[in-house]
Amino acid sequence: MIKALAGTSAAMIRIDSMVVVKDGETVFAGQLSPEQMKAIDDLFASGMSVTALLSALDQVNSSWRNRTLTRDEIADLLGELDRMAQDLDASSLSAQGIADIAGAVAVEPERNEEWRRILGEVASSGGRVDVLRFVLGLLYAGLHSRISWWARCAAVPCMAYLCWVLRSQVRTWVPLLGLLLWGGLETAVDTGAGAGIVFVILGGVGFYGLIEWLCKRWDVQVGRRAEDPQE
Amino acid sequence: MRSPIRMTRTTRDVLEMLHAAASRSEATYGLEICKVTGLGPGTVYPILTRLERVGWVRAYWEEGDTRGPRRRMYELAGDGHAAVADLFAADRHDLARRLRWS
Repeated sequence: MIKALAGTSAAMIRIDSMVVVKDGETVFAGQLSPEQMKAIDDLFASGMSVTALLSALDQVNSSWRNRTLTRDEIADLLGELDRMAQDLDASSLSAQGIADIAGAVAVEPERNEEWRRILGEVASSGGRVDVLRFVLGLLYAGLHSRISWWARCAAVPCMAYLCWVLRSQVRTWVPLLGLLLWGGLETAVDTGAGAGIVFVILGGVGFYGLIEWLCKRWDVQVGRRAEDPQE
Repeated sequence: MRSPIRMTRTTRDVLEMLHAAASRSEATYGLEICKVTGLGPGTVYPILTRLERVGWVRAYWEEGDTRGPRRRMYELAGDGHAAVADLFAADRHDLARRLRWS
């Protein structure tokens, strides 16, 4: 197994319960308990690279580098690794869950795999707070994707209807004048005739400005110009 | 003609990052954009989605690493190059105008 690591700078080989880890010129070997085997499998399943694994091992015990460890030291180290994997499980379970939800909520189907990948990278290099902050950003991105898709879907028929209304003076102004007169009448009864007239005039000017602005913005041709562009 | 993308500060940051990668003949990925621009994924991904939808950015899966989830790469494409060139030209014009004032 050690010979098989020749030419590599950082690698790990595991056959059943036997493990060999190499980082630079340092190589150590050990036998894993079933719990430790599962811990290492979980670390790799979460996307942790060999370099990140070795970096994590380094954080547990910085003295292991540059020398070959005894069997007891390897057992201690792997015990630490097991505890780390359990901690990682607890935090990454919730983070992974939120990322899965974000990926499912997003309209783009590729986001799920893409976000699982980058979450693995963030988890291997950042702390829990970084992971949580990142995954909440992903959740926001997923929700943004879904909501803006709904808005786009709803905007198309709404805009088509509004453009159809705006293309005709009758379709535009009959309901608006009805609304203005009704509002003016209500104001006149409640406050007085003067206030009712002011309401109708100001409302009419406001609606006129709004309609002109919408026609210009959406490039709506009103009346005959829309039906016969030659004229 | 109106730009299909509203050019906010964050959109400019993402486009500049993509342009910098394109000038090195490289593509970039979401996490790298977040790290370099200092923006969160909640800001970067909606911008990337919009840019991809209007055809300014092309996205594809990274090849080679077949183990685990794949990395999605982004690069400037189509009108994106022209848009970034316009952006920089406008910046230069603005700078020149300001310098004449001073």
